[in-house]
Amino acid sequence: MVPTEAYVILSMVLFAMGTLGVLLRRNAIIVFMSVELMLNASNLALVAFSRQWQGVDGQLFTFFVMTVAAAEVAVGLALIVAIFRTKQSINIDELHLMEG
Amino acid sequence: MQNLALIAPLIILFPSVGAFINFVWGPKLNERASAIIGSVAAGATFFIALGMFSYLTGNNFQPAIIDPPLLDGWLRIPSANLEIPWQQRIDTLSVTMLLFVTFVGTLIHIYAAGYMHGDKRFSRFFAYLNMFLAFMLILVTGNNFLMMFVGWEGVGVCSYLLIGFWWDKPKGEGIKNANAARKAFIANRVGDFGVLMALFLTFWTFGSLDFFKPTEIANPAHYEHLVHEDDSHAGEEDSHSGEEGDDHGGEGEGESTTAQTVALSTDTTVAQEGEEDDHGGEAAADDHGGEESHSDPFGFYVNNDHLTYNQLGVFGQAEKLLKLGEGETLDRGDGTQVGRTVVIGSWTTDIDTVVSLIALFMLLGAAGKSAQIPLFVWLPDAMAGPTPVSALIHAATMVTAGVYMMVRSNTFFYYADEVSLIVTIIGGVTALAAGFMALGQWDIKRVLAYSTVSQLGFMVAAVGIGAYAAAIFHMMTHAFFKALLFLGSGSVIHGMEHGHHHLHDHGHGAGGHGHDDKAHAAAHDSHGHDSHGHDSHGHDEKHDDHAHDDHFDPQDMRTMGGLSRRMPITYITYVIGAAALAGIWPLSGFWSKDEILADAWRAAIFDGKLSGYIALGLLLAAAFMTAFYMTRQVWLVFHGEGRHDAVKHVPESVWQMTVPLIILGVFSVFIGFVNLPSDPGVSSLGLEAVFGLHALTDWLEYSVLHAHVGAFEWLIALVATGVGLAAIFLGIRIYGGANPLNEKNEDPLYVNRGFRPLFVFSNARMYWDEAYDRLFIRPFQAIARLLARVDWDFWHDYVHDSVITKGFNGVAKILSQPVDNGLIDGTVRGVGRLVKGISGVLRQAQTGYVRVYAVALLVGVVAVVVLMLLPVLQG
Amino acid sequence: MTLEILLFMAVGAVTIATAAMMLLSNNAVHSALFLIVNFIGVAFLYLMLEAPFLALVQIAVYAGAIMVLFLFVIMLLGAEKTGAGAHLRRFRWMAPVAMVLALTFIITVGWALTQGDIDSVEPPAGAAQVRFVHAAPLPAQVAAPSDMMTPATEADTAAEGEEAATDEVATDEAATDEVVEEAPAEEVVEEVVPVIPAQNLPADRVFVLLVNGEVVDDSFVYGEETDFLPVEPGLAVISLRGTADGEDVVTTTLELTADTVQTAILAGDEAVSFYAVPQGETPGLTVFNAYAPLPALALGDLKGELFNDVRRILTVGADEVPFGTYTAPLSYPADFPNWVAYEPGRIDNLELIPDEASLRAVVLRVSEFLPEMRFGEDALIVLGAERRPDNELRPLAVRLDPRPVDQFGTAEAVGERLFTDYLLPFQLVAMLLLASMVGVIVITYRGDHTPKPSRSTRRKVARPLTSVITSQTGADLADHDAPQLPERAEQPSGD
Repeated sequence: MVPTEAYVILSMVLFAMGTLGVLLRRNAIIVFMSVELMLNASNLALVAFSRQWQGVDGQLFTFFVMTVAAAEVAVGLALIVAIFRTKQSINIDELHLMEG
Repeated sequence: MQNLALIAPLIILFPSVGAFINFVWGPKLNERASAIIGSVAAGATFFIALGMFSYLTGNNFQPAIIDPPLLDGWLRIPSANLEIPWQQRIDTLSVTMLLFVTFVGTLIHIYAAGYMHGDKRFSRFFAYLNMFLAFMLILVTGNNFLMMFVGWEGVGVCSYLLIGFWWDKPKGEGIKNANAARKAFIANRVGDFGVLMALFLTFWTFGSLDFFKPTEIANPAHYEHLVHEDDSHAGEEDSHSGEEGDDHGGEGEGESTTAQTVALSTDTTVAQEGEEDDHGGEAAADDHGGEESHSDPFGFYVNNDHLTYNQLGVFGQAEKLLKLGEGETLDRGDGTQVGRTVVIGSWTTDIDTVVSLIALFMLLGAAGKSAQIPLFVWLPDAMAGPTPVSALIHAATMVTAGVYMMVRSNTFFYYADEVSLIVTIIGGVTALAAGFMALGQWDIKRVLAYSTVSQLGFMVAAVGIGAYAAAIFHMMTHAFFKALLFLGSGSVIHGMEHGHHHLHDHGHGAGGHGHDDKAHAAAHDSHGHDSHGHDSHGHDEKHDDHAHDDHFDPQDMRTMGGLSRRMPITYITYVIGAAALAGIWPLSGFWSKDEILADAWRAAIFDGKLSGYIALGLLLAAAFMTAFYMTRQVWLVFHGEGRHDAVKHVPESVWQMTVPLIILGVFSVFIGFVNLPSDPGVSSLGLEAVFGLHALTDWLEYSVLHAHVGAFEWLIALVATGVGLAAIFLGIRIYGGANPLNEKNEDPLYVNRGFRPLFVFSNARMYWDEAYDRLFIRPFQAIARLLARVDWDFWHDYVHDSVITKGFNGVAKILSQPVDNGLIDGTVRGVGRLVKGISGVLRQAQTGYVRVYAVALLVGVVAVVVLMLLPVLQG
Repeated sequence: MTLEILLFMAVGAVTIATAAMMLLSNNAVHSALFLIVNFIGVAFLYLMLEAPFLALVQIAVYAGAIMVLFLFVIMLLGAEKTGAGAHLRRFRWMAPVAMVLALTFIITVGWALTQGDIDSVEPPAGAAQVRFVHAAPLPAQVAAPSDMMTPATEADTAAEGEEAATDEVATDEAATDEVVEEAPAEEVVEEVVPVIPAQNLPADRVFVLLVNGEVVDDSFVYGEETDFLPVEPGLAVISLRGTADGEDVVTTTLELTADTVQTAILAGDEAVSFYAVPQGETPGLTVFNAYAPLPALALGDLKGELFNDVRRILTVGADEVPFGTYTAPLSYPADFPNWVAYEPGRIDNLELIPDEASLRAVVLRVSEFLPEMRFGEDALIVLGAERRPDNELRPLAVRLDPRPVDQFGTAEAVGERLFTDYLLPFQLVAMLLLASMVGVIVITYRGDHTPKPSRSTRRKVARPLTSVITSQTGADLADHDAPQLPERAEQPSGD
């Protein structure tokens, strides 16, 4: 049986990689995919702990995270499409409308 | 036949619907449609009343109580344990009222269709008439005091609306009409105070307002007596009972019908009579009827002994309480006891006192509604309304409400001797005084108005001496002949106006003009009081373009004379009505007046009552007055020569007006025979074979507990007739010439030095109005003026304008400048500036680039993770 | 190094590698494809983590739907190449900062993992689940274990029964003794008690069941079974209290271990007691013998129509089941066999003749209860006895619904929790999805974007009241004071 620690470390590494993707990539779609990667990493940790504690709640949380992620992807991609229509670019460094 | 009574609610519904239609669609309806709707609604009530009559005769005169389903619980206050049912009582008294109210009312509706022709608010008038009729029928058929009061107030409102119907007449006459309406309304308010007090006292004492409960027999002694009579078929020594027995034996229905009728409203349990009844015929009946006398052979109740106190209406309860001895108590039916003692607030008193008080307050109410001293002053002024209104309100219906209430409450009056004496005095004095005032009037309708007051005085005096059936009898005959007289006078007025217009259209300046002026001058001579409240007829409006400025008064008898040739039908019917009013044998007025006088005589001689003597004296004098002023009126109006050119052009009235006159005339002749007294001898013309003896009284005995049968007294009949004939003879002597008035149109009595003060006093209506003006109205106005001055000068000028305004301005000034502008605004502006400065610095951090936010977030996340794991790292 | 660990390492390597490739790829389409592989790898890890349902959802939703959406958008926008914006490269400082932060994160968490020992944590023990079955046809006056036979027989049967039963049945001697003292007086009245439907039994046949002094069933009657009740592990005191007199009839202690599922059966004729039957590990038909008149029963398969002739009886693996014991889970064929319970040793005389012997021989046709069961179902049959009006006992079988043990991570387990405890979040998530759907449509809707010319005239401001009045009446309120008193009140007409 694979120890839980191994899963957690794997999930941590994936999460960190996702973080780097969010911070360093400029293509908005890649950034988005990195966010998905981070969500998956956290899901992995949840499921691992769920097995550890023999409780199904962690899996249910994962289920909900997946659902929310689906909603988020839909809205996020719609936003990207809308932004692309107006600015003809999805480079996030060109988007600073929120500047104070 | 039981089902027939169930249509009773329709008697109120029909006129209500008629009124509703005429109100809502009135402006769109033409006169014909309005008149037909109103008259049909009124006529329908008469036929329903006939149905009620046949119901009662078919059910051995046992009352029916109808609960219209929709109105159930119309007044219910659970917290006060007060629930007044909406019940209509169909008994002999209410059906008597129903019959003549609806009959006369219907005729008046038809008459009004002709009389009101051309009025701009024609349909409104019929709506009011129908509404009036509906309320009057509520008043009459209600089974409790509150329903009666609803009707009472309703007819009050309608009379207000109708008297002031021509409130918009030009030249100040509208104001006078409106004032007359207000006067009627306010005088009635004073009376209503009495009614309300009587109601409150009744409810406080007895805990309900029902006349009788549905299962109750209104006059148990009478009923029981009938049953026993029928059982035994025994001859009675007592003349009273004997005749009664004859009457009912003659009907041949027998006991079975009677018993079944009672079964409809009571349980079929065998009644256990508590004690021997002390009724006169009891012993004889026991001998013959034997075992059947205590409880009905069919097991039906023949009296109210099985009912507990709480199951009785107020009259039954009052009877029980009044018969209690000192200190005795009675079970209410729920285990509690009730005694003679009544506690009202902190005042503890005996039931006798309470009943007397109730009766006294009712007398006040009746004085308002039935125009008795001291509240009668509204009625003559109410002649300002259209003539059909005068007939409807003053002859047939509304003014009888007070007498009806007193007769309905006869139990209270029967036991309140002192109050009965007061009632007698008030009634008698009113009869005499009003009769006296009538003979000095020039206005044809005003004479009739005082006559009405006088006749109502007869009825009230009858109640005072305990002749309740006689009061109702006189009310009934009076309704017919007084309606006849009013309608006849309306016909005369109508004709005079037509004649006048005709004169203006064709005969202007044709010689009679000087005569006209003379009449005009006479109308405004020294006796200036009679210029009030003339029935200035609505037809004027059609002819306003004539702009005649002579104040021709079509109601002034000084302009009339010799009309008998111009309007024969009106003349004949009018003479019949006048003769009936004067009490000439064998017309209806003779019988009813004679019964009151005979009762007064019997009360005086046999019972030795003071009230009997008073009533006899006052009423005989009033009867003399009656005959005298009616003779004066008939001769002034119809005989001699016309005193105005208009008379020459007077036409006979249209059929809508004459037909009711004829019908009423016939009834005025014969209606008196429905209550022939005992032993009439030849005076009855043998008509007792048709009508029976004292049929009305027997009929009323089923609902009027203390009714008694009148006997014929030759002495009284002869004296009364003699007095009447003497007055007529005297009247003809004085007014019989071709022109009884002198060249200044002054009354012969005025011309005669000896009678002049009396005539002036009568013409001025005994200065009642002046007295009220000085005693009440002027002080009231003075107080009102003073209060208005206080309100304006003190409250408005000083308190509002000076104190409050200035103080408010001062405070507002302080609050606005230093406080609001300086402190509060300063604080707010300071905070605003501060926020602006800080945000100017902070906004630099917001680059708008997502990645910066993300890295900031990550820094935070890592910091949190490190902090969270710090214990683990160290351990 | 088991196979599992090797597998994990391989899959983990694949996920990390694909994640890195996703990050480093310049082509967005490639990134998306790498991410799909990464997701599939994670799904594989879910499988290894006993979450098969989630694994399937991961593949269907993430690797399937979401990534298709990504690819679709990338293709739609033509944004697969991202090199175009290189001249706009700012925030050069961010790369080192991000690296440092990521490393800090990894080191901190990793070190903490080595410090703390996650795997040593044991999951908390769950409650024991017990259900109670009333299979004792009690007479009106219950006789507690009397001196006649039951204590001895019970001990004997317990001894010669299977070990599992004896472990978990412990009769509280003290409690039974107390009841014994009251018994003799009641034993005198042995009367015929008619069989009455359970619903309208008299009060003295209805009992209250208490566990650790807590009422769990207030009308516990013959033939009834309760639901599975969670009970704290440890010694549980179970009492049966009469509703008529309110006194405890039977008091027993049961030892309950955590995470077990068992059935406590009230059995016995003259003396009654609770017997515990644990839920077996292997599926099959467990038969409990609660038939008191015979010391033991045997189960057999008649193979064919019954009662036609003397039949050969095939053994089914339960040749002798003493009273109060139960069989090991039996497998049974799918074609509804003719199983019967009979008295051991009376096989040869199995006949149709309704004499006493044959009645005693065939006690019960077990297979009457089998058709209701699905094949392969885990089930428990209690062979009981019903007291007839003549006080004879008649065989009766109670079939108990099996309750499957929760399968951790299956769709069934997840679904059950989802639709019970997590129903509200589930609904909320559904609402969220709906909202996002509407939001997407609104965001991407390309309608008529030309702004409408705003109306130049504003709506009229409401006029102050005074101007309204002025316009209505024509009177200028400002110039007037309040109405004045009339100069002279109108004289009353006097009548």
